[in-house]
Amino acid sequence: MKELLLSLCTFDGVSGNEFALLDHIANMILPFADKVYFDRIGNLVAFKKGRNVPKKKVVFAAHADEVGLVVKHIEEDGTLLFTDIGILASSLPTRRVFVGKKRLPGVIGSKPIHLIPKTDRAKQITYDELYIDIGASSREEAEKYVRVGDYVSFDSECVMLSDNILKAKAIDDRAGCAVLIGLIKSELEYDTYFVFTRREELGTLGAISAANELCPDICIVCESTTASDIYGTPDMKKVVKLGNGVALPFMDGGTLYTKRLFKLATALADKNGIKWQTKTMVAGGTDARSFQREGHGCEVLGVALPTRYIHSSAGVCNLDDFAAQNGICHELSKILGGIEL
Amino acid sequence: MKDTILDIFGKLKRIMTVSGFETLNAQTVKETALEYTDGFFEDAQVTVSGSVILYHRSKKENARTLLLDAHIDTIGLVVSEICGEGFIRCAPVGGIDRRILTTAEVEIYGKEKIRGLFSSVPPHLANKNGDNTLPDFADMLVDTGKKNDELKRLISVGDPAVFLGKTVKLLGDRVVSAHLDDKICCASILAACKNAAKTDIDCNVTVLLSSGEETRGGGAKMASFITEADGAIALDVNFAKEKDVPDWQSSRLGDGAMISRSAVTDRKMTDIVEKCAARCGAKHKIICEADGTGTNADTIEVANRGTPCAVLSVPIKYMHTPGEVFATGDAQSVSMILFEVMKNFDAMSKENDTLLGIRYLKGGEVQ
Repeated sequence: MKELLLSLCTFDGVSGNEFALLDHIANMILPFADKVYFDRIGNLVAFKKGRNVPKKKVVFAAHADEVGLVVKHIEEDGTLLFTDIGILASSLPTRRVFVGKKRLPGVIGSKPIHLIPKTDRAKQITYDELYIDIGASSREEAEKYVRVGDYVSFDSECVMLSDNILKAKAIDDRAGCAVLIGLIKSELEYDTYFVFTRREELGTLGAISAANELCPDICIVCESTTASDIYGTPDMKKVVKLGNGVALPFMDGGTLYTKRLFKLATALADKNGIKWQTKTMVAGGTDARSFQREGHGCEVLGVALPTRYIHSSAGVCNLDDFAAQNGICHELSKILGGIEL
Repeated sequence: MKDTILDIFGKLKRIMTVSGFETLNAQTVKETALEYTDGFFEDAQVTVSGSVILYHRSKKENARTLLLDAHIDTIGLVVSEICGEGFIRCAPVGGIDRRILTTAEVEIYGKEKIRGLFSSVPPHLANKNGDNTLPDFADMLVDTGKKNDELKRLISVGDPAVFLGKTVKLLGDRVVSAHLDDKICCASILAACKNAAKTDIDCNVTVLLSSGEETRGGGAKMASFITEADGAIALDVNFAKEKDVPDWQSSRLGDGAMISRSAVTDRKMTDIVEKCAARCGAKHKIICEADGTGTNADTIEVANRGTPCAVLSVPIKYMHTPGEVFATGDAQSVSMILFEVMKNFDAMSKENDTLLGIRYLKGGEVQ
């Protein structure tokens, strides 16, 4: 599972541009699933038969897209202005990036500190001060390689910081994708649907059509969630901590998760010795928001991997937590098809 | 084609379609659309929310369906109180700029149409404390000049009102008018359809004149559950270059149509629009609206089971005021592109597996 996660994190898939990644995932799951298709807007859906027919339609969901940038204008000096998709501005200066389909290398530039008035030096940097430098010296030169609207992703290495701590881009939500792929490759107790959604980082958009098309009764959303366990942060504000297990939220900024599924999952984790924690702050949002409200609506459960520095060019997670996320999803898949609505 | 666009626009402009009140005149909108398109549509319907949907069926078998959307609703006002001495209070419908309201003229649709204008405090009485803040919308009253009993007989709380703004030709091909947003796009679509009525078009064309865009886009969403297309183009106005509007966000009047490349809309559908623009030689500019286009496209892309959608725009100045300005050549470029897309959509959407709808890799309908 570790290798799978690492390999998925090296793929580029900025929101709206997930096609190459989804093709890759489709090829991986094709031998193991009974039905695989792209829906009308390109969400990847798989169906796999289990030993039993479930009482209710169960769907496991993870989003394929990641945060990134989009070129919005080419300046006369050949630098590129951009729009961000879910990125913290402070994480951008000096980051190395790949621009467009041909993955043209670039760096995010900003004015040197010497030239910033002393009164402004303590202020957060804003998007308006930043641009991408691909080395072009004029608009004409840049236009040979780049078009307005091209996607930009981060050049960020996958590195193990210690035995079980991974630093990589796009852990949010390749971890969830890896869990789903693992489930599809396994022997399942019940017939189950899986969906790899697009455009989650743009406001859980892909999940809207997926919910309308699939109409699940129960949807398990495998996600990453903000860990703010930085040294010195008061416990209450840490949200979740690395190493404390899979995060099972009762609520976030977009969803009140189905109470009985939350109770079921926590009891199941306890029974199987799977370490779990819940979020101590109501924040963020996931595809569960769309699944809960679109189509005929459904019961939802969140199963999340605690990840530091979410919504920036790199995240940090603990692979033991990832194993716990994977473990609880496998346990859930054994029983969800058997419960009544 | 320029004259056709202006004719249709002029006719649509006179129909009151304030957001939320579209059902009142949806039938008139439908009849107008049918009247100006020379029999292009075989069928038409009015939806519960006041959208109008028009259907053209291609003679070709298994033809793809193209949806063209422009919103028929406009910003406006609704009467919230009849105050006294001929003054009424209004609530805004859609995004209205309070800074430009003083003496703005309106027409209230009660039992009869009556005129009024936004009042103001004279300058020698105002700003005594050097205070520059605007009054609340609710404190900006409309003066109807009528006696109160007459006023109460003619209008009631809840009646809609529209901004008045004459359509006048300026220098070159520029035109100033109220309600360009988005009736100039409705007109551009219908002009393209009128053109298409002269030939055989390979694809089915569904035109959606949608309700509720200015008040959160409900019409386009509901229509997605009534009729499903293989690809869609949402047409809306966009920002023309003005002083202090950045280049990346705008296009100069006269530089043609605007095509938006976004992360929330479909790139393959956008490519089709771009290719057709190049093919027919229509002027256009590509702009980027990565995280949202602010048009019905954002809704159409995901509503129901999702429809691959692109955005095509007419640039206008002074958006959401009664004095919007556009270049007729730009609307003509939009119309030309639409005609070209209609001619090529069936073939282009089938080429190289573009826009295949649900694409089965294993199991399902196609192995």
